[in-house]
Amino acid sequence: MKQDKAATPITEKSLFYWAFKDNLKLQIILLLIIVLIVFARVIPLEMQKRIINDSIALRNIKGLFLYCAIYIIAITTASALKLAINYLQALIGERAMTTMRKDLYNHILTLSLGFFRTTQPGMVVSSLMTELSTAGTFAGMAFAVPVTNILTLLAFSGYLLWLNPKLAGATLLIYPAVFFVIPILQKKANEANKQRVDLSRTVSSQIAESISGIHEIQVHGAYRQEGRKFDNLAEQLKKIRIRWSLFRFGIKTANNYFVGLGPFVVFIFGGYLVMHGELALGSMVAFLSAQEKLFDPWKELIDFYQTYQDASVRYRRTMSYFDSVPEFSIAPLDAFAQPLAGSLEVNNLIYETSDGHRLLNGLTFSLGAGEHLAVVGYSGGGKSTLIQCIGKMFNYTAGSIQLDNRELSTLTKYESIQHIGYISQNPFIFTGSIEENLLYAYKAATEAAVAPPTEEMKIDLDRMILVLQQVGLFVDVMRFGLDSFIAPDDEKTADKILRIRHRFREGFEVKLADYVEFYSQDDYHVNSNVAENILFGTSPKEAFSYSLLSDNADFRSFLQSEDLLQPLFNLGIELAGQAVDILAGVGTVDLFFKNSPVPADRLEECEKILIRLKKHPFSSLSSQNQSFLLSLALNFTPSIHTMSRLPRQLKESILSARKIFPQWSQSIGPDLFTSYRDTSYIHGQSILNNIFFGRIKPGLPHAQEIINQSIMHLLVEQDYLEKIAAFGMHFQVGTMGDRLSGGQKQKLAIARVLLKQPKIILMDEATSALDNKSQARIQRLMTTRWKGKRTVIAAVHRMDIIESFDKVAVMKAGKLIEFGTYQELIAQKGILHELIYGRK
Amino acid sequence: MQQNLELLKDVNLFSFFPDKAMKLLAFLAERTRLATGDILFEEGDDHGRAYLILSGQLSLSKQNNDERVVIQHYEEGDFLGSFSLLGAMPALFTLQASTETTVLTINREQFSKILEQFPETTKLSLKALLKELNQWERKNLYQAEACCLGRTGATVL
Repeated sequence: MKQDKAATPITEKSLFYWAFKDNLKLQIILLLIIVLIVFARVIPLEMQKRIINDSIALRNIKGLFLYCAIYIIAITTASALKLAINYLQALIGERAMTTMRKDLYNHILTLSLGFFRTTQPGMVVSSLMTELSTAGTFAGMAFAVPVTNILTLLAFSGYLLWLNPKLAGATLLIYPAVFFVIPILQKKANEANKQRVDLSRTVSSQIAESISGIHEIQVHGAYRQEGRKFDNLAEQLKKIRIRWSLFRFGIKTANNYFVGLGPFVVFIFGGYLVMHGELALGSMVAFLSAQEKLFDPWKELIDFYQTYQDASVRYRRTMSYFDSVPEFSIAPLDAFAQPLAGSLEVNNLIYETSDGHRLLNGLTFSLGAGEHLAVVGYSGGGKSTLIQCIGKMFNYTAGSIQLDNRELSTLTKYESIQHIGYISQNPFIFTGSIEENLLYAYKAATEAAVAPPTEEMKIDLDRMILVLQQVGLFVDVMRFGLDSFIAPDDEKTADKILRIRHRFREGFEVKLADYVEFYSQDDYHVNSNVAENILFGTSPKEAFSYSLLSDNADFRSFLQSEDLLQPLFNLGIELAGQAVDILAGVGTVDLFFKNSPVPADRLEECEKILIRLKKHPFSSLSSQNQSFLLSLALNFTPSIHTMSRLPRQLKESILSARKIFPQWSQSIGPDLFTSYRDTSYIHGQSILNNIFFGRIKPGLPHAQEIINQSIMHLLVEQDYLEKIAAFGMHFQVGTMGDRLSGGQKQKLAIARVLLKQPKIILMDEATSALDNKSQARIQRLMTTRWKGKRTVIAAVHRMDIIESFDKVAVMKAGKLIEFGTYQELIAQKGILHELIYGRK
Repeated sequence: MQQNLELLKDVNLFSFFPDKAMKLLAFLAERTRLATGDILFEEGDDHGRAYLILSGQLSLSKQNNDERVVIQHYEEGDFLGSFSLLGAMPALFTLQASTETTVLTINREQFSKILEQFPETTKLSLKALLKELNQWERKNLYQAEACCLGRTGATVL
């Protein structure tokens, strides 16, 4: 595969290349089967002849059975072989398409960033998923279809010639006529088709333009004008489509007509020959069948021809779109990268965009290994461009960047990623776990090298934890771990956590009493929902899980007996009413529904129920509606769903129902529920809740820190910190990391670069989303850990942090206007002074 | 929530809001209990939140070399942080609770989602803000000593 790439880029490969690449064996098997099937198709014709001539005419019953048996075997075999061909064809097609997709995708990933600036993601998606699938289907049939059909045609024609050369010659004479007429029609059809495609595109862009300019159209009242434009195009399109259809059907009809002439020739000329004894009747029957069968392969060939035209046009268009050469060589390393000290020499560096805009204009400076440089200046001054140039995100136009006297542009991408770590302002976090994201850059760097990682590069949990601590993400990861659930069969962990709970009770319960609502048999828990307050336990049985309780008839009868059912229905109605009052009519914004007892997609249902209840009694509601209202009430958690309050009376009824509940559940079935007990693990609740045996009270910002401290303390004491951190590492960050905050994303981005220990760290306002504390932590990390060891170049917009850098560069309009130590620049009272203290 | 609604109605910034938007705002606002010394935001933070004080007292301060200078105290009923709801704005001061305090918090995300849902409210809140700014400067003009008049002029920026 590597050699292929060196020869021709994949975007210039022909469509047939994919049909044979890695599929040669399959194609040969296919060819063998095709030869067999052609035989299997000719045999029935011969049998037909013999049945009539040798058996029926001669009343040879034995022969009849024999020939019929061969006949049936032949057509059965033919069908089976046909299935095999179709399967192989599909297999080859899918394989070809998959390789095509994979290769093209890998090619696209390496294209220059400039290419993506002008390319919509949707374009790439549709190219890979839709456009290529036609090409793939074609690749599957590229070999099989023409070969099968040509061979079949030849075999049938040969058989006919063998039967009777005269008659065969007469019938086959039709085909040259077809050869003459069809291509003419096809050419016209193609032309019409091309016009149709072009015009369709014009119509589409016309529609797109009008819709995006709808404001302008409406404000000018230019409905008719726009309408006319569209009408005109639509009319043209109609005409062309009609023409196109006419030619297409013309081809079909002409084809059918000519082939239909076949039997005519057979009847008139064959009949004549039979009458004159030059042809047996059986042969004429065989002739008729063969004649008819000539039509199928013929038609398939024509179809193939049309598909080929279509597929190759689409394929070319798709491939030519991505036909550009990657900016950097990405050849893997032969050996582990040479160690680098990290000095940097930039000389007369120039970067021009493709339209001639000069973003970097002759930069010259040098930086010793381990030195830290802050790049400041006006926005648009070229700070990010400089950093991205050094990060090899695009090639510089002129000048040089040298790392330890090696020119950056001569390093392959794989070599440069060993040494250079880049942290952007808006880092992209990928779907997956924290751990996967943490290892992202590290893996890329180590996979690129053939040699095994050195001792320094080895990763274990401790290293990951250390890095997380350095960037200040460790506490967050611990929280993710504490908020996670353990597997129901993980007894060992459950036991350990119960022991930790016990220790927690001894050491921290009093300290945290203000922030945590502890479970207690006698109290109503405002941080738990109504159902949990009644049950005060969980059920291992699916039918008694919280989400299904409202449908559970047994449970309902329990509520009835405790006089809870109607009050809960009323609560449900109240909640539905509040939710509709506040949220009906506003968009389904997640933020709005976060604390709503009614999810966004069920608000409409609430409205319908409420309208019905205005005129009809409660009992007239369908059982579904009743169950829905009950589920709202059972799910109601006062501290979250602040739009309503829990009536006092109801609260007391619930507490008294709780006391009776265990007895009742025993009467329904043994071990249906496990009550919350100090000594047992609550599955279905987070590790943290299990340690607390309770829940955190919301709305207490300072609680977080105190709780974190206590829990960390406890976990260290119990030697369980790493285990919980490992749980947290598996936290799924969501699509593009949307379950993380901006600060968390940035910290993760810093951590993932740190983990690969690059000699040169590039930071493009990498701490801008961090709060003061976290920013200070990174700052501290830089001065204490990196100074003298790792070269840092950081674009910075906050002036209060640059004092600790060794050098400061001030940029304006692509030029370096000041460069020196902080003290020097301040003393000279130039631009840096102005940037910091303002214009005097 | 009903309580939140009544309290928020008295805030100038929302004085022109339609009922529906007010209800949503009251629903989204979060009640927070602060202990003495809790910090709401620090210099340089882009906290993006506004606070309505329900009880207690907050103090605004500024680090001046090595000492912390308290500039202003805010009491029950005061609403602060209107500007930070509108867009990114790093704090120039530090706000912290000087007693046990309860505040009602609205953050930028909530506010901007409401502006999106009720497009007319953008104009209304601008109107309210301008009015407030005008009053603020007028008050300063009367109270400021002659020496400090040079520092006024926010309304002609």
